[in-house]
Amino acid sequence: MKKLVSLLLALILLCGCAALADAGIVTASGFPVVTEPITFTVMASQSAIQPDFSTMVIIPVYDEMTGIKIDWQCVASSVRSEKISAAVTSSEMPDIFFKCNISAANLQKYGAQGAIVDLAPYLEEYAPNFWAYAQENPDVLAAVTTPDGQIYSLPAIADAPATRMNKKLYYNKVWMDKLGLEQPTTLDELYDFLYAMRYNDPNGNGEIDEVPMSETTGTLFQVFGGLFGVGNRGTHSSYYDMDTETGMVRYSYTSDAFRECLEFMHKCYEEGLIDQECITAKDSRYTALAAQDQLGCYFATNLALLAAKDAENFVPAEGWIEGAVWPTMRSHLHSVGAFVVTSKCENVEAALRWVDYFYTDEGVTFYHYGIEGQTYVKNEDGSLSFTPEILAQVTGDKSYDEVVSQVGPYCGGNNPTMMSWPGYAGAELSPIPMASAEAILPYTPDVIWPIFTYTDEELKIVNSTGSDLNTYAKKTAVEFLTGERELNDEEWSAFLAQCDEMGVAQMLEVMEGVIDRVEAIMGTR
Amino acid sequence: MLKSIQRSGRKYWDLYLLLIPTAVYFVIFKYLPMIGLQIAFRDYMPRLGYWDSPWLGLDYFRRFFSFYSSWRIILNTLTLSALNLLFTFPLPILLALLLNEMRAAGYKKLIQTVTYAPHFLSTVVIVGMITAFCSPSSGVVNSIIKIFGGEPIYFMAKREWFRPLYVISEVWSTMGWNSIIFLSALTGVDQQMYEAARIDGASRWQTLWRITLPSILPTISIMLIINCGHVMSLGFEKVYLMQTDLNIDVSRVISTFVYEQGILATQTSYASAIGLMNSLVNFILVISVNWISKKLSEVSLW
Repeated sequence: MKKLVSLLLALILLCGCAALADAGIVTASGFPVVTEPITFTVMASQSAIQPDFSTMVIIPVYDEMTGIKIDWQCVASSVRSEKISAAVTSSEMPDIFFKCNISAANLQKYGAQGAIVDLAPYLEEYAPNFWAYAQENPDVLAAVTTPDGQIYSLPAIADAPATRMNKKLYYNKVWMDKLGLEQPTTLDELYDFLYAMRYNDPNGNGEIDEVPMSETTGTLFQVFGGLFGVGNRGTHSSYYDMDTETGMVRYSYTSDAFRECLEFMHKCYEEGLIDQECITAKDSRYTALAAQDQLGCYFATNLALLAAKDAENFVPAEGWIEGAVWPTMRSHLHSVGAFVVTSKCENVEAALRWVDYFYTDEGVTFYHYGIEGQTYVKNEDGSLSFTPEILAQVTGDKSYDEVVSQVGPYCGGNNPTMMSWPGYAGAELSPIPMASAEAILPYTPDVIWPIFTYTDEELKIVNSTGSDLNTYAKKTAVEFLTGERELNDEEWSAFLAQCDEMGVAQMLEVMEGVIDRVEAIMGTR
Repeated sequence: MLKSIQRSGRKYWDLYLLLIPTAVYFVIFKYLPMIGLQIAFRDYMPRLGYWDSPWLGLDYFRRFFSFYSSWRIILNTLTLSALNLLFTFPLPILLALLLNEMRAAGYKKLIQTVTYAPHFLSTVVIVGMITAFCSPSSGVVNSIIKIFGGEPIYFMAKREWFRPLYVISEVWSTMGWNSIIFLSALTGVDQQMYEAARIDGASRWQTLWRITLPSILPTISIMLIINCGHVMSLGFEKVYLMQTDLNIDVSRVISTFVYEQGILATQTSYASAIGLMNSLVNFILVISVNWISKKLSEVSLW
């Protein structure tokens, strides 16, 4: 064992030296990536159902293509964060962190300590595909760039609308047919639609046990807020958006529009059109409601959580309420920290060239589905699926994810690649979620703020004043929703006064600065 | 002093030898990690390590106390803990006394087993059960309320129900287990005293007050002192899992706040500072309760 380790170390050292001696071994474009073989040690986050990465089908193939040998150090995703901070603290860092989902705050911290490399100077030349995508979709660039202008990671990108819309809408077709309902397109129609579902006994058991709409309060506030123009900067920013009249950043929960929204929601809640138990609702509840034929509208990214026979009842939305916003839309950035190069790496250029292929359409397909004919086939409608031989291995003991993990490393998320049609292999790209996303897409905000990165000073305020304010505002909004607190002028101004006291003004000032910075990169201001 | 230690060391060397593993365990797992406590006073950066991260002094403590909701959080912690102690401490003693008076051996065993059983359920399961039982549409509690003609109550969404639910479920899950130590103390009571009392014509009630309770009083005192050491450290999981938007006013306690700040917002140093302060309060409580107990009843931990 010891011998093996020292041999390995020697090998790494040798490769390192070789790379140092000749940085010019990196080719300009295409494959192979390097003219002389080199090795990288890569720490990868491995979920419980994944095998060792080196045994996956695409790995040796890619080693061959690039000329770069990867020495995989797989760490269980459950202990990933401890392993990463231990690695960063000690000097025994890998060359690359892969799929490790390192948070923006930690990236900044590690970067400030010099443990990881600022990729910004290299990207244009050595990651041209990613760079081109980021130029076209500056929200990606805005999210990976720190306040000081460094870029410490390549992200997981969500490209297809269906992968960006984290909540889509599906209606219970069986109920609609029974009641002769059309999909609602105005606010009044929406109310009547939900009302009919509640009181006209569509499940035919003679009891008023139908739940027209169930979701967490967070999602409900987003969806209903959108009806009144609140949440017009996307799903990452659920407490701040843009006041379209003044063009200023506003705190969504204290806006007049949100008060209107709460009044409407309270009316729906009181009549039982919104789940009475939405305060404790979670995924298992909607699954159970659907199974008992008690659910009218279903919000989810796909239908995978419903039993197959229940999922058949639901059809995708064909649109949404006129003039409304659909706020549950991500930026093109799914998550940061998917590919991070450490200061141990002797050849940053080669590392970037290695990963950049995954940001091409061809590379996306390779990353998720592997090799045509061998691991996947093309379907008539242009979509892809794994070969019947692979899918046949899915049995009672072996899940789909477990089986396809023999091909490539995508399961578990946070992949340095793109979720794009048709190469991405997630359930979002199945026909029903795709249709729902397509139909709702016109209602999504034009500008979507990415997940923000903060300076140390900003972060302190955001984490104390900001999170405290959000907790209070959300709590009070729920009280207004359920009628625990009556929504009248007096209570509303008491709520506003309390928010003021808790520091709305200070938060708006901070967010104004953050958003200015982000929008400058995005070119929207 | 030194000499006596040397002498006893020579005489009882085998006993000291047996002590070593425990001592080593405490040093390695309890005392050495305390070196890391200093990150509560530093802007901790993993790469720089414990010793080289920049020193900030009491910054984090100042920040906590200037934070808008800090007093509410502290108050919540204290209230919930005090309520919890008020009920979960005396009830196991009562149960032990009742079991002790019981003569039918089979029935006694049954009661014991039934009351121990919940101890082995994980917190997540218990909270899941609370949510399911208290559901206004399908929960068993509300079904009973409805049978008697009442209006169903959405327990999880009512601020005033958070504390009762927490305490009741805590009593349910810990009572049987905690009574074990009192039961064992009860078996140690000298039977001759009971016989003498009976001959003197004491009723069962009188023997309970005059003999049983005083005999286990030292155990009760010690247990109370130990329990006071946990007053500020409520189980994090249960409170966190029971939190909903509507009970957040009373369900935000120090341990959940440490989780929010330390894990969710990755402010390790800030969270450590709050945790350290928490432990300090616990420490002071133990010392003072121990001192009071020593003065009043001459029973103490040390």
